[in-house]
Amino acid sequence: MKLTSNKIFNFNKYKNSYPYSVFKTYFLKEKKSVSDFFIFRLDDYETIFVAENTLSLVLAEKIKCKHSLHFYSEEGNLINTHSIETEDFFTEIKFSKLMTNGFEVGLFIHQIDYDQNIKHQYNDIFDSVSFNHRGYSGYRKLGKTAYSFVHGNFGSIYIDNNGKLETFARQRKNFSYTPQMEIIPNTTYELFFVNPTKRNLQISLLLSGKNLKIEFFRKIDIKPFGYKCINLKSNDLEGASNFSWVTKLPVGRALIFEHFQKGFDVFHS
Amino acid sequence: MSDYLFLCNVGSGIRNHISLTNFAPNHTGQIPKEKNFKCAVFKQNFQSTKWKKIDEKYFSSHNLSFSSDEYSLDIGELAVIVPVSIEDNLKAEYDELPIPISRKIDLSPVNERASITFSIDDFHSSYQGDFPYPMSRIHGTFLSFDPLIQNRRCNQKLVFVNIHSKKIDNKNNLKIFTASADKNKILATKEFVNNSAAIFDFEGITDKDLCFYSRDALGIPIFISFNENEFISVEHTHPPSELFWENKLFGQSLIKKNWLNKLP
Repeated sequence: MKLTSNKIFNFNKYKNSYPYSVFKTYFLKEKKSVSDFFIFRLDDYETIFVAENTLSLVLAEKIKCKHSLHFYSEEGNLINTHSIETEDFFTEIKFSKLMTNGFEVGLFIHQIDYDQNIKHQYNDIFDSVSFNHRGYSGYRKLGKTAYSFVHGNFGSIYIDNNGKLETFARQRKNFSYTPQMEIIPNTTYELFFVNPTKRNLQISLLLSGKNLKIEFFRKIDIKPFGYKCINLKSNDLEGASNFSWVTKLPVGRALIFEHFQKGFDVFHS
Repeated sequence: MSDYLFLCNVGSGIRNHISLTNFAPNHTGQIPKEKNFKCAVFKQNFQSTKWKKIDEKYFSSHNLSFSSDEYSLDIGELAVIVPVSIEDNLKAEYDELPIPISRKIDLSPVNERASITFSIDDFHSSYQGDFPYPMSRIHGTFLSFDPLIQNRRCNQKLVFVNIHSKKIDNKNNLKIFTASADKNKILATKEFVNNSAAIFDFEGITDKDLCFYSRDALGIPIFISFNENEFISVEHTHPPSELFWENKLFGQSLIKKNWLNKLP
């Protein structure tokens, strides 16, 4: 994320579209373990997360790593933290309600840490880069064999030195986001929206179609570091072929579960 | 950043579909705005260095879709979809793939993308993806790992898509390897050419800690997991640069240097 001369010259224009805090990104050079915001589901689903051991991947050798998953409720409250130590390049972590303190659906972030002697030994690497966790979540219906995977979407969340949840994400002005997909008949959609910022986030869902003018469908409010899910049945959306949403996040993506007759698909918009 | 889209015949009865809208993917304002463009479809046969235009499609509604069934593609062959200006009079044949137009309408950050779907029987799975135009201008190297491999749970494929939009004088044989990261040993090798897909099936490979690399080509790695009459899942892995929050390219070069020096 370099501040190029073009960006400096057009600073205001870029700032208004920049998804992160300009100050924190360019001037407050803290080294952080930054994470996307991920969704877990234990409501008729099983969820696994594939956590990466970034230093091991950088060095091409196995090094002991402490993975911590921090779980949050729909309202953005911390519900539990679960840690595991491994030296594998990737570690598959299967979620349970014990880990999520009984919550069936919620958010989580991934953080990693290394022993002090490892940090000291590879000080030059820790000094020159910050790690970004964009791991892979797998979902399957109870009783099924294999998982449907989706990679990390957007977040820029981290835990600060005082153990507090912090973020690089910022709300700006209104953005209209349209996923490149068509609404399919006989299909149910679950649209999970997350709020990676410290302020309440409003999202307005819009529908459009060939013979349908763009029309407002629903508005939701999401608490800081929380999430909301909108359910839609395509057969109830007469004439609608596309959805869009308006939010103050410059990158306002959603995690979408698409349920068809025999199964489901999961992808980020 | 403008982009190419692609269809591929990956074999095993799996079909590939693309859908995109004429709405700009992300922009400021409260009402979704449309962008006027059409899509041309090009194919380069395995032995040829020429791009042949095989189709042109216009929006008659908000959505446009393409399927690998529409074009006779051999296994590993690509049909490249190029969003272009509605006014462009396209030739039947090109040495260089036409430059895709940007579907952005302001400075809002977005990868333009399309819905890239793979289906088998009554099941489908998709991701929002593309092949970025700048990536099609360079040769580069490739390195990826195996977080999406589901050992023994289902059938697996790695589809490695390469698009090189610049003029090519000869089609050289390129190589991509599947290796054991632990044992530092090559487990499988695929030869392929520019503007095609190398496809790995993982039958007989039970090793953990796989990595995939090429010293002479870059591309998009798509992992397809499937069981006939049960399910299909599709996702791509992030490039190594995405493991870093800042100094992404430095981090990527460090990873590639360490692994490509170590691997056979």
